[in-house]
Amino acid sequence: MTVAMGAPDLAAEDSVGTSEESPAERVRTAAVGLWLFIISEACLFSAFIAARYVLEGLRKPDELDQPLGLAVTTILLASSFTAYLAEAYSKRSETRRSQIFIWATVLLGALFLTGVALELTGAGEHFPTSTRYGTAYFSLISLHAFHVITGMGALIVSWNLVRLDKLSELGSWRVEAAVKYWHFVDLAWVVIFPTLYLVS
Amino acid sequence: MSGDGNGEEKSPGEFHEASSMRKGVMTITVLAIATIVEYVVAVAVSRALVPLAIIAVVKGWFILDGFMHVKEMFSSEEESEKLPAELGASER
Repeated sequence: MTVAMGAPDLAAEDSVGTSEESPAERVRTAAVGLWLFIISEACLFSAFIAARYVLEGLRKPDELDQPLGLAVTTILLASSFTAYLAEAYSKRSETRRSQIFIWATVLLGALFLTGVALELTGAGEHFPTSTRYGTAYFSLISLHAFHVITGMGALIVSWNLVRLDKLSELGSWRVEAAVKYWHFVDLAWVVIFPTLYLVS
Repeated sequence: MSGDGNGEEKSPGEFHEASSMRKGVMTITVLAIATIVEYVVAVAVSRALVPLAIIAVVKGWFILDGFMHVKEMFSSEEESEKLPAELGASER
């Protein structure tokens, strides 16, 4: 038995076990899988958001930095727009522009995380994790930050596929999937921001 | 991206790009305005849970529809399999 050495053949891997399906069918199946994954993630976030209201009702500490919360929200919304552009250009096979906007999204994501880290530093002094609000706040923010980091990772992987021209017959789907996940991260923040910073 | 604005007719791809860009710009504009309104409401109004919830739902819908193209999941298979160029042509 001989073992092929060197880089794996991605095109060959793509066709394993799916020889009967056309690329369009495979993309549709993958899209259904992605949406199911997003729905399950939404359930997870819903549980954490519900916990905040169960633990503290509508109360929130006065020390929360609302302007900083608004700033990071703006950054994340801007990153959703750059992600949208990356997807649009990827669909048009304009790989250079797509790569630029993927990186713009990643950088905005990093900026968002920096803002959140600043907020966490101050928040720890006012409502530590030993308090009920602190528990809800830190768990929800950390859960979301983890998703931002994984979203950045997915975007970097998709950028690498675009760069190496390894999108295979699935076309721009891999970029689209990473971007959809990024939009979900933004969608989660749309609920988290008022839940933690605004409702009182 | 080869349009030079000298009166040449746009290709379906260029038309799709313009249409896609318009939708993206409209979505981000609505989201930005809604976020500002949300912040002002939260600062100015006490017990603003209901308006904040409504604004969050509106923002969520715009992300789902404008950015995530959720409607594509419920469109017919033939429609979703169209290439971007074909979509551009049909929009024209």
